[in-house]
Amino acid sequence: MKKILLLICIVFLGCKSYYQVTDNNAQFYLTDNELTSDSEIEEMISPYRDKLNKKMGEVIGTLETELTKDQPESTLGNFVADAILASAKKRYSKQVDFSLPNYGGLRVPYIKAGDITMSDMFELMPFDNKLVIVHLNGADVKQLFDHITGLGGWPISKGVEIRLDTLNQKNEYIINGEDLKLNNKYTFCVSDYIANGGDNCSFLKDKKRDDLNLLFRDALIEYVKENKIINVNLEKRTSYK
Amino acid sequence: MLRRKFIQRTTSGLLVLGLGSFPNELFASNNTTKLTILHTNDVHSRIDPFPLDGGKYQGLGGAAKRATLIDRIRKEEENVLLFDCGDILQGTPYFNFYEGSLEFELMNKMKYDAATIGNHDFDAGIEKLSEHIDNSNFQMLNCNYNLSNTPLKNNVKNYKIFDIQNVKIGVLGVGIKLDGLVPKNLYGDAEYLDPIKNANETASLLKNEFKCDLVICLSHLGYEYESDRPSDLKLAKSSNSIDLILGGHTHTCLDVPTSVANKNGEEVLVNQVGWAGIRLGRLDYYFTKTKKRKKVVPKSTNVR
Ligand SMILES: [Zn+2]
Repeated sequence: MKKILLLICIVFLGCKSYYQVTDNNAQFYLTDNELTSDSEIEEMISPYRDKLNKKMGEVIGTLETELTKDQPESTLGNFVADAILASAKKRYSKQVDFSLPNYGGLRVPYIKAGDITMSDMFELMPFDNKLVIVHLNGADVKQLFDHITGLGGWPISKGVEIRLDTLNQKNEYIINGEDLKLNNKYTFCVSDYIANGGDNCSFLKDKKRDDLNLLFRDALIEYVKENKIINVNLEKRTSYK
Repeated sequence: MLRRKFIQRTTSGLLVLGLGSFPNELFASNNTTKLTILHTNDVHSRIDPFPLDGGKYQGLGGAAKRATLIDRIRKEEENVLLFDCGDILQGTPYFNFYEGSLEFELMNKMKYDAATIGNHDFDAGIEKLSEHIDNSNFQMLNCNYNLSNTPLKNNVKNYKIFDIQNVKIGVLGVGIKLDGLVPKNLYGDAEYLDPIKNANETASLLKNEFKCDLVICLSHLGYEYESDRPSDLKLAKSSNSIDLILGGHTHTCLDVPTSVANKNGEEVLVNQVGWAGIRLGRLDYYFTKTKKRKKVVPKSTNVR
């Protein structure tokens, strides 16, 4: 009797058992060219791809040397900053002192030399962000520059020099040949995403601004189409002292 | 020659210890169950491989090749779960012109089991995201957005439990703060709640109430930050019911999962596989029937 009871007890407990992890291991696969393409998936994609290629395959310019994304300064960043500033200046009657694309907003790590296609511009700037002109005083600009250098440095247009001395918190900021003056007024071109407080720029939210009614991406496309040949160098716009 | 880049890690050494003392073999004969977990994150509409332009990523990625890889693994393994950790959308013209329908269709075809919402998944608006979720065959998971006043209130769940040959796998989703990251008009009335608190409560429900044998958190919080923002490592350290965090958002490319000690000193694995579908992550778990859960502590190497 005791034995039966014990057995029932064990069976009962046995039913309430768990599954214990006794081993695990991890690995990863590279989705590379040695894998064939699944034909059914290809069939699903191809009508979309064909339609897209007609629009996106258009060559809009030529890139002399590869653009790469990096901090604190990069060729990709310099290209984007100069392109949006040029397009902004064409639409804005007053002075624009500089432009400031956000580093995280550049969505490709590089663009290889050769043909520049519409697709390249869509991948570089996939978001439908618009460009705006924001008005700041010099103290605001200092806050902004302190913020972006704290994030490792953002792309900035030609004419701005940022000399980093983060260790002593004594960065030097030079705008179009002159030291940043805290009481001066400045205007700069930026995406509405940043002007609305994105990337922890909430201090920009309530600043005076003018809309350009121009998509960030369209500004890039316009710049490439007008310049045809794009050649970008590093110029120590942001550098360490 | 190298068909796949292969890096392995095992925790078997520490686990065998606890197991030997239990005579569970009395009740089950073939009592080991193997589960294969596959995962992607931040695929960002990268439907085609990177172009053959001589660049670092040329030829890598692409849904058609990923599908071949997944199919091959499904043929080799009986129990496969396939997850995505958010930012399915945004990044190539496919999204600009088709607003994400193809991305979700392809995930249906590859038989994804669950996914969590990334900030960029709101980029065509919350209504559009809801349409995509309605059209998908996998469960969208999030436990820290209050979605009750949004179109997502019925089609996004806090968690889902998968039964793998009687092994209960609890899966939850957790998402990043939307304010400042996503324009308000796109995420609408979705309300962000404390991810650490909500993920831990949901995980505890799965482990203690529903008796899940493994609890997996699909996260779009990001791997780690210098500031004290919520991250996968923070969540892992604060947890007591999560076994595995599969992450996204920071595009962190880990060759091996990070092993973290949770609140009770038990091991939580944290993994993330970069972005753009360049890699597919895989973890294999082996389960053995037992009467009492044993503590699993982190290995001495690779511990954060
Ligand atoms: Zn994200």
